[in-house]
Amino acid sequence: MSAADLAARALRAIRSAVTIGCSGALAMLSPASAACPVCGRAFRGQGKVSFAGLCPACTEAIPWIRRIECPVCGRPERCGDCARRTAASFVASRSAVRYDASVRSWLATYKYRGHEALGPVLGEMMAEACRHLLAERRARYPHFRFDALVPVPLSEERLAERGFNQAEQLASCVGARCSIPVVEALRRTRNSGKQSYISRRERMRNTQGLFAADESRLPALFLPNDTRSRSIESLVATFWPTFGSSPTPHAGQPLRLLLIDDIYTTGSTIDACAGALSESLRRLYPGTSVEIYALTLARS
Amino acid sequence: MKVLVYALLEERASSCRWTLDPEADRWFWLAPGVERFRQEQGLDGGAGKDRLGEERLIRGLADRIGNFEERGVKIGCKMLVWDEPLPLGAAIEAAARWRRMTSGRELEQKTAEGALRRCVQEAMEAEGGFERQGAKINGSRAEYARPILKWGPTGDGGLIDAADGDGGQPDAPRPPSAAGKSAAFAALTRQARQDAEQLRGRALHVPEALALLGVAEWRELAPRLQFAALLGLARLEAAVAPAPPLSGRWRQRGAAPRPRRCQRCGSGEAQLRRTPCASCGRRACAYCEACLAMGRSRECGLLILGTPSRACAAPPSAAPQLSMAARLAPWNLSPAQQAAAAAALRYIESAPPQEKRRAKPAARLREAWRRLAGRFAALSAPPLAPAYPRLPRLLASASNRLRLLRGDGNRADREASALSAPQPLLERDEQPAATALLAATDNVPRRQFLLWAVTGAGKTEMIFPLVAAALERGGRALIATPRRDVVLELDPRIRRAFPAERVVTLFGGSPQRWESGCITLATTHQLFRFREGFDLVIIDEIDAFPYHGDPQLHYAASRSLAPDGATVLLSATPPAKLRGQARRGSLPHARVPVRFHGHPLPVPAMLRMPAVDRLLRALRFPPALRRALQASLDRGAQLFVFVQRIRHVAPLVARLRREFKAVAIDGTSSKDEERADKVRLFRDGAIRLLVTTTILERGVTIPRSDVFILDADGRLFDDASLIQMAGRAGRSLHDPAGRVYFGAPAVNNAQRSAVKEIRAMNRIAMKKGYLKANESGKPPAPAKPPNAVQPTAATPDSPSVAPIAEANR
Ligand SMILES: [Zn+2]
Ligand SMILES: [Zn+2]
Ligand SMILES: [Zn+2]
Ligand SMILES: [Zn+2]
Repeated sequence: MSAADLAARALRAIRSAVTIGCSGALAMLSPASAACPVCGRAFRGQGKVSFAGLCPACTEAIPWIRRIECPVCGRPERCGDCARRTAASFVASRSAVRYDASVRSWLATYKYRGHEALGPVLGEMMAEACRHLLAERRARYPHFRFDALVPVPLSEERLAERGFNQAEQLASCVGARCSIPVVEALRRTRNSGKQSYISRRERMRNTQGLFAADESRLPALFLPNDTRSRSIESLVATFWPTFGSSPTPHAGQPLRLLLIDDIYTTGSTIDACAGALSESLRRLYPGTSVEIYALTLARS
Repeated sequence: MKVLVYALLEERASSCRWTLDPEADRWFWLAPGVERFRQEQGLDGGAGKDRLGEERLIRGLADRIGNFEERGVKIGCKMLVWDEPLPLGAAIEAAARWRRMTSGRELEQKTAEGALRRCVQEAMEAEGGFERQGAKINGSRAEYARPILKWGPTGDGGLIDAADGDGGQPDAPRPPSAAGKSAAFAALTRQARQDAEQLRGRALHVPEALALLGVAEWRELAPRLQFAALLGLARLEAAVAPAPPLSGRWRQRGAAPRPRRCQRCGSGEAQLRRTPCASCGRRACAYCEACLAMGRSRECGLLILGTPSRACAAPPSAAPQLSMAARLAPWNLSPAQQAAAAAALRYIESAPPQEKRRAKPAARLREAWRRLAGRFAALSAPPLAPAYPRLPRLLASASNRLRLLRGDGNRADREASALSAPQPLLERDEQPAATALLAATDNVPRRQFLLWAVTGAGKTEMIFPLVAAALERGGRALIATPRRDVVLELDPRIRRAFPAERVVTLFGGSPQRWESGCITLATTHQLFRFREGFDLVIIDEIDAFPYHGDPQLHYAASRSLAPDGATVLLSATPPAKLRGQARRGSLPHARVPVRFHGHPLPVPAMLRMPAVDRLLRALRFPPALRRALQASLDRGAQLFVFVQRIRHVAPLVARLRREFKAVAIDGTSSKDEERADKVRLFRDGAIRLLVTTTILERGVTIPRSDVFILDADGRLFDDASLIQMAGRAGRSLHDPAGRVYFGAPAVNNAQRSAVKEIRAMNRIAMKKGYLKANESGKPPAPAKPPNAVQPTAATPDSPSVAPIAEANR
């Protein structure tokens, strides 16, 4: 058994322990630990199938996307959009669930009513989809990994009003579950920025529209894993030099970013974000090849 | 959200305040020209329609005019503005710390700057405001030093930054010319008064206030609200805040944070969740999960409180004093209804019970007194000693105000004290104590009256005269009920009874959500959006879900009542606690023991039969049940068949359809999407027998109906729910003697107590002579037990069907 195998095994053990710990903490965080965080009904769930502490009925109601028809946008039906699209800025997009009536009401409760307790639950669903995406890619590229999660930003005004950015909260859930660092590398060009940025902001608006890369944050995408986050990998890596994380982008691998948002409707938001990111990266880091993927909670 | 904090320095006084819009405060405190404005607005006359609002406004203005008249511009108040917005909680805390630190006494500017700096830094530290700035300031509050802007008035009516140099701020808007300012001031005040009229009696979050006032942008609303608050026409608070510390012990640095409470629904820490917040920048900003469905209460979010409803409780002496009978006559009530309505009216119109009111917060009052006394001690302390010529007046008005807060002294007295000469120093000074006291009186149980009326007594008709009386006094009336379907059903009846009044019906998604009227009809959840808004609060079906057992809804209901108002609780089956209070005499109440048609309540008969689970598995249908069902069908009745479990409905329907092939039988439950349709078909008689769960225990009234309660000994049916289900029978004048069966293998306490309750009501009705004579002319069986008058299927020779008395004794 090689040292790498040992390390991988240790890593798996630690990760599963962490996952169990996290869901335990999730259950304790909600005010009445027996109540379902989604519908609020108390339930006796011992022995029944329960996802992230949901009651059996709500677990049942999760409209998972299990079969993907369109390899680009992850749609569960046949897809004309992607066949027509000439140049998408992203490689592929996946969604955890279909945007049906129950997901719509969960998202509304979470985003508009501000029931932030739902964040970890929805984030857990996305982590599930993220693991599937990784497995799907690794079947073809065994060394496939994401270098960072990039949440789609809110405008500063909206952020102040709502108090939180759902994409950022979901991204940090996925990041914690899948051990990928979160880098807030995007910003909205409207209602944001400082006076001195105005000329550049104007330029961004002309070229990219609503989103722009936050260029001060871009270097964070290239830092080795352990300095960006205190993930389990980085901790293991520190004590296990043979398994140490290689500097990113590792040899021969492109920089792979995963955009995180709550809903994928037409794909224009994801496309604009991916466009803004890759444009800035190409300009500032000319030698790097970049692949951008997207993960959303729901696919409408 | 974040707000700005400033210290206001005046002659002989200082205070620390927070503001949504510093320009509004700058005008309010520093701009002269208010005198002319007051004349323009005709505020001296005070004979407007809106007396209380006017008086409040005058008080607010008098307060600030006092600054100019008595001390004048030359003396000059000054504003020291902390040049960085603080999280709302920290700003409120800073103001509180200033009060403790300085006791509100006059301060030199240099001293005041130091005090402000210290208050802000300590508040930021205590309220977690440093968490986000942590990186910037290296976690050390010593380095958290922002410039303090100094604003003061000039002699010629302009505003300048106060004269000592280091407080220049390049980006502060230049104050407009004196004339422009005066006009803007007038416009803002007018607007604030209009807003205050709409905010009256409400408790709203910012998005709700935007919707109510029809404003699109917070930027536009903020100065209007701030101005209303400065004029005393609205109160601005944090939606989740620490309980007011009345004990006088203050939290030291580093001590555990004071527990928070949702100011809208009253929930404590158990219902609060803390999350990082981009609105105030803190890592742990609490929000309330208990009332989330009505919009999110957040620690850094505002709760906007309007002034209380304006009516007075005392009956106007000028109004013609009609006799009670004459007042009730138009409403066409039965004798039992009349007696109860009269008792309720007499209670509502009696003077508030002052002894009780005073007794409870006595300790808190003493505390407030102590603090006020401390304030005066501070006033007379050596450095301030030279001038207190106004002290006698201050003391007099202080005791006046205390009297007001205790609730003694009549209203005229209070108005007089409120209107008496400007008391600038005291008014402001005393405010914290006063708010604490108001909070204390909130804990005093408000006046409550229980109308305990049997099912089918005609509760709705009885509340009409109460509502009419409240409107006559110029008050606003609220009729609330936990259930939306009951609201929808009451709506046309109320509108028909009060065709001339403006009726507003509120429920989730109601189109009238932001309208105001004299009569408000609402689900109990809507009460979260009101504060001291109604002079009469009627709560129907107090024992129904979700109101029953929900402390948040009870809190909201008690807070929606104006200070001198009264609450009337309606129920056929009041919760045990209220029944006990009524029996002991601590809860004023009236019983209506008889239905509007004057016939006694059907007494349930015991039907020995197996549990539904067994019935469904057995091959043989219980013959006793079959006979009773057949008898009811034969007499042409519609049959309610209640079961405990949703899962029993479908199989029982199938079984009954097999047994009674020619009869239209169906079933429904809370999970049935066609419920409304089936209820309609049942009403129309297209369905003869409806199997249902307790979902139909209230509200559905069928003229000729019999009731079968299966598994009556099950744990989901308590005595209240048995009485409610039994109450579905015999509602109509044409079929007053419907049949009720408790079908179960055993008789339990719930069944016994339900029967006891029904018999007791019948006995009272008979004793009071409310029972109508039969067709035969003689009163219904005065000597026999009430169940004898009921044409029960319990024929003496049927062994399995016996009146319950035999069955259980
Ligand atoms: Zn659930
Ligand atoms: Zn596609
Ligand atoms: Zn609340
Ligand atoms: Zn906050």
